[in-house]
Amino acid sequence: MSMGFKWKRGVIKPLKKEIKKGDVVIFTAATYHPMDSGFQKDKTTNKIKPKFFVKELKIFFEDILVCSFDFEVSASPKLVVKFPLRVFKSGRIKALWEDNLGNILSKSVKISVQN
Amino acid sequence: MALSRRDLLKISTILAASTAFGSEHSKKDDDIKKSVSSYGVQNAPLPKPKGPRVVIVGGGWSGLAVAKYLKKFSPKTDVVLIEKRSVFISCPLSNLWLVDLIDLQFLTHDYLQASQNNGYIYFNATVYDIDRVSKKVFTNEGVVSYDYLVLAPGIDYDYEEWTKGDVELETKLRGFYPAGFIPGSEHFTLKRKIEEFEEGNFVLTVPGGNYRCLPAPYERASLIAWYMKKEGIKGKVVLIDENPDITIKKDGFSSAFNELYKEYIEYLPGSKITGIDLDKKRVVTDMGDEIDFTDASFYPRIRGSKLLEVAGVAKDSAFNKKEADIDPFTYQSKEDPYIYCAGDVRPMGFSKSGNTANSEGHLVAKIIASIIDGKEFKWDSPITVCYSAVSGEPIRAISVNAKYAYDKKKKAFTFKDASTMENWKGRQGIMSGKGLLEWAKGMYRDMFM
Amino acid sequence: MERRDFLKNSSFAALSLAGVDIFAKNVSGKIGFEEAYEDAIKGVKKIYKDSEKIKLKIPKEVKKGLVVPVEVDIDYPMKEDRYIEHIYILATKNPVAKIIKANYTFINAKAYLFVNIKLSETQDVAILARSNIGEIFEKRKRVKVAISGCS
Ligand SMILES: Cc1cc2nc3c(=O)[nH]c(=O)nc-3n(C[C@H](O)[C@H](O)[C@H](O)COP(=O)(O)OP(=O)(O)OC[C@H]3O[C@@H](n4cnc5c(N)ncnc54)[C@H](O)[C@@H]3O)c2cc1C
Repeated sequence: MSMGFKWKRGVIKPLKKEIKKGDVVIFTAATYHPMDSGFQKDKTTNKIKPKFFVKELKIFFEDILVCSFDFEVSASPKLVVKFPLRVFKSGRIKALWEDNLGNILSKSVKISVQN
Repeated sequence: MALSRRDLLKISTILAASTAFGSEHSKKDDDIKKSVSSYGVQNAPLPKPKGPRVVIVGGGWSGLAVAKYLKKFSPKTDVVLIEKRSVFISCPLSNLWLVDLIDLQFLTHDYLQASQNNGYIYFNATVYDIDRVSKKVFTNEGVVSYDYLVLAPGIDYDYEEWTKGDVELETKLRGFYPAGFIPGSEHFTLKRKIEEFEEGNFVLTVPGGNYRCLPAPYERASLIAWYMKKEGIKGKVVLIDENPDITIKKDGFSSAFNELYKEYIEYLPGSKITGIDLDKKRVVTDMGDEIDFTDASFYPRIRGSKLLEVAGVAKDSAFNKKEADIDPFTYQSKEDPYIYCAGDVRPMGFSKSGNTANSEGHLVAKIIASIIDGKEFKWDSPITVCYSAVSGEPIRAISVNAKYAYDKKKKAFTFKDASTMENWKGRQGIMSGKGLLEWAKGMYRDMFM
Repeated sequence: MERRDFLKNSSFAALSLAGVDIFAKNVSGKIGFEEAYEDAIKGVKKIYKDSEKIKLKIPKEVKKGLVVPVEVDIDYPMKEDRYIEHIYILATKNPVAKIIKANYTFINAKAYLFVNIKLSETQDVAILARSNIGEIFEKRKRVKVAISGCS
């Protein structure tokens, strides 16, 4: 998979729609990545598939880092993470994933907060 | 004012009249009902059994093997195969037919020939009820009594996860975007869709659970992509997979996707469909994908045939809803010792494939023959042999071979002597393509000759 | 070809696939559980084992080890001076025992985490929640990977 893999699928979204100032909101940040462990052989080429995995996920609110996650090969290829965040104002939440080969994927969502 | 005796009399006559009218009415209703049911309970036009009668419902890959080998192993047994179709169409290899790599004749076979060659009765009828107390099977062509009953009716679709009970959506999905995993008109519609396809996305799906034929959706995606590439069609297959990865022969399929069909297949693993909008022709997944499609074939989850529920022998398995509640070594129903179940309805996590169903049919025939003849029998593993084509002209294929063994500690079946051949390139891939056709011919011979 | 090779690579969705050898053994690149655990507790002052503060939701049995959902909720203040700084999820028998480390501050307002993990076989999943003042709260739960196809 890693060979022809184009990393482009991902999503970040709040779990609830109506957000009030000061709410603690759970967000989902999900992507798909092969997460090759580096221990398996490719059956067509008979060669070991090198480690290929998401190393880090960073979450930004208006470009301020608010939390982050470090991964190893044992996280699932269906890499869904849910995390909480207290929200005070409207703005853009961005998820930025980076894999061990330096590939980067970024997705964002705009949230509006009612006073 | 109090009612007089006269008034009361009047009232009672009205009452009498109305009850008389009422009873007359319901009598008429009864007559209608009776005539329907008395028509239904006629015995099927079959000769009296000359030995213990085993009725097999479902002339698919397992039922055909049970019928033939039961007659072989126990000639005195009277075998009746009840099948609703009048012509056999093979699901295996149908993906090749979809893109004209083989013709329809290769897939179609003759039930009468099978029954003539093997000395059992083929009864062309649909079973709609089973009475386990009187041991009777109700069909649209009359009632058939049995001593032992084998249920091999295959799968039904389970649209629930997508439709959440919206039957209008389900009807549209079945009618306009059929899965093509139960052979018949679904396959004809699918073939027409492929032939008429001009541009855009052609959506295919891989369901979760232990669905029928693990490699088939990947094989189908490969072959449709092969066809688009050959015909210069400006489109691609979008394969939405509920599983986190290709479920079988992963390296073989993924290298074919990458090396042969880079522009023609978009593979989206780990995606659960969360919305299907047929008016906008758009699919939404839990991974945030929004896919607009020109055409599609939606393969939903599967479940055991509804006939199992009718017979009261169904139970949710670890993988799918309403599969056969049987002893995994004897195939005997836990509810009813006179009922056996075989093929894709089994609850064990075996591969739901033709070779598995056929070899299981041999085993179930052996088991029932032994019981009828009062002999011992030994469980043997079904055999999974499954080839998948990844391209045509010449046909190139990959394959898997496996048996099963019971792991007492894990309380589960695991693979035994399993191996795969996933290199479709070079001579090996072409040899395997030939192997695919030879395998199918061998299977048809086993079922029909 | 060895059976193990086969199992590891072609996860027959069915077949308690579960047992899927997602990782081969005895290959370099492993991170053992001890090592991962030591790493997580380095420099802490106190470890509360089997902590009641941690609510851990994880299936008891899974068919496939490729997508196992884990949900953790820790009863801890999340104030400016005291909060859960890291949540580690480790697996006792995965060849790479480390799975995820969440880095939080009080702005997260809840010590909560959901993530999908991979499990190679039946084993314990360990949660370590580390506060900014050097406490560790720990909880483990066993997950059976490989369920009977014939109940
Ligand atoms: C597209 C596709 C490709 C496939 N490719 C392969 C492959 O390459 N190799 C492989 O090994 N397997 C393959 N398979 C899988 C294989 O077709 C099935 O596993 C196999 O058919 C299962 O056999 P069965 O006897 O359980 O069910 P079926 O073959 O479906 O037979 C069930 C029969 O019961 C009949 N029936 C149902 N209900 C009633 C009723 N109430 N009354 C009377 N009759 C009834 C049906 O008409 C049917 O004939 C493929 C399947 C599909 C759909």
